Amino acid sequence: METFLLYSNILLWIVQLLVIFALVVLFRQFGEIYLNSADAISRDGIPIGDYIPEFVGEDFSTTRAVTHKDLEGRPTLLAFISPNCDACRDLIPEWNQCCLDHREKVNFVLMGVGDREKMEAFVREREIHGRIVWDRRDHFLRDFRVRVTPFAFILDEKGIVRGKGLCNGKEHIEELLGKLEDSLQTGDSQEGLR
Amino acid sequence: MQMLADILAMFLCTLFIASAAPKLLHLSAFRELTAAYGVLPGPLARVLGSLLPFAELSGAALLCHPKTALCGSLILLLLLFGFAWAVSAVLRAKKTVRCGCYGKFLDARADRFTLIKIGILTAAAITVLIRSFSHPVRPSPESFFFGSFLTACLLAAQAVWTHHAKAMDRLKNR
Repeated sequence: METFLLYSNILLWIVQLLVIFALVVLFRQFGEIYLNSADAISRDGIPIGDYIPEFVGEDFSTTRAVTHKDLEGRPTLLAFISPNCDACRDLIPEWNQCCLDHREKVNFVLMGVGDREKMEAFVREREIHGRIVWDRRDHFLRDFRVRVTPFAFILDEKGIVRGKGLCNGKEHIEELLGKLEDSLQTGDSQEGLR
Repeated sequence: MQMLADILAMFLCTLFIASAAPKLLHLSAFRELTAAYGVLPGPLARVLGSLLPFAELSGAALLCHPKTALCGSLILLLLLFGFAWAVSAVLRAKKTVRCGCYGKFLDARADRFTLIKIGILTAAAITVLIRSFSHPVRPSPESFFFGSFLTACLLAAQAVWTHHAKAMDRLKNR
């Protein structure tokens, strides 16, 4: 009897390990669905209709302080990039093209996060249009609730978020600019929360 | 300790029989799969693909008898080292290749899970080998039952992992 109990106990432990393994892989799938799908990533960021948070950054070329107030007065496309991010590197040529096409109406601002030296190398290696604001306090991702890069917000002239989402290329940029147009056409004057 | 060695011997025996049988049923498909690894020249890979199931069966059969268990565990150990080398080469080359571990019975990729599985089997084979020097393996109904149970668990884990890998591919490609 004791031998039977011993062996059945060992077998049960083995089955238990198998069940735990199955649960772990299942949770991995849940995580992938919830956190990494395009819909999930679009849930990131400040809610549409809210003001962007108050922030202080550094203009990358002049090193002068840049705040949220500097973005008011004209619509702004605000994109978060990191020097370690391949998609951010791939974005730049189309970002530049869109900047040339739309800069009369919209400010194009890149918010740089991550390592400063790598960012300097990133900027040195390529031509980048628009303004680059550096996150010298390492707060941007937290304050703007951004989890992945490149991620962008389209702001109206008051600094209210009118659209947001992944920003991997021209298609996404045009989509965000379209959301701004829609909000202007519907006369959306909703005042956001700060 | 003797019981453990007997169980591990039966585990290896049943697993390699479960692995070899589907391969023999679709030998030509398995030959092509071996060539698809790309780690050996095509003709050599096909010859090896033809011989592999027989080597697995031989090793498994030799494990069942006390006098030949040492030889059987050596054959399986050699096979496992070969598998580890091939799978490592595929992982380094970042290729996606079907493992072919169970022929058409169970789909499996040559990935990290396969490498870990090979590691576990290698540890089992080494244990049986070392034990065989002093105390030959003596299969019994109990050791056969436990060994088969472990094989079933490993196959179940493989099925879970394969399903998971396919699901993750679909999710990432959405």
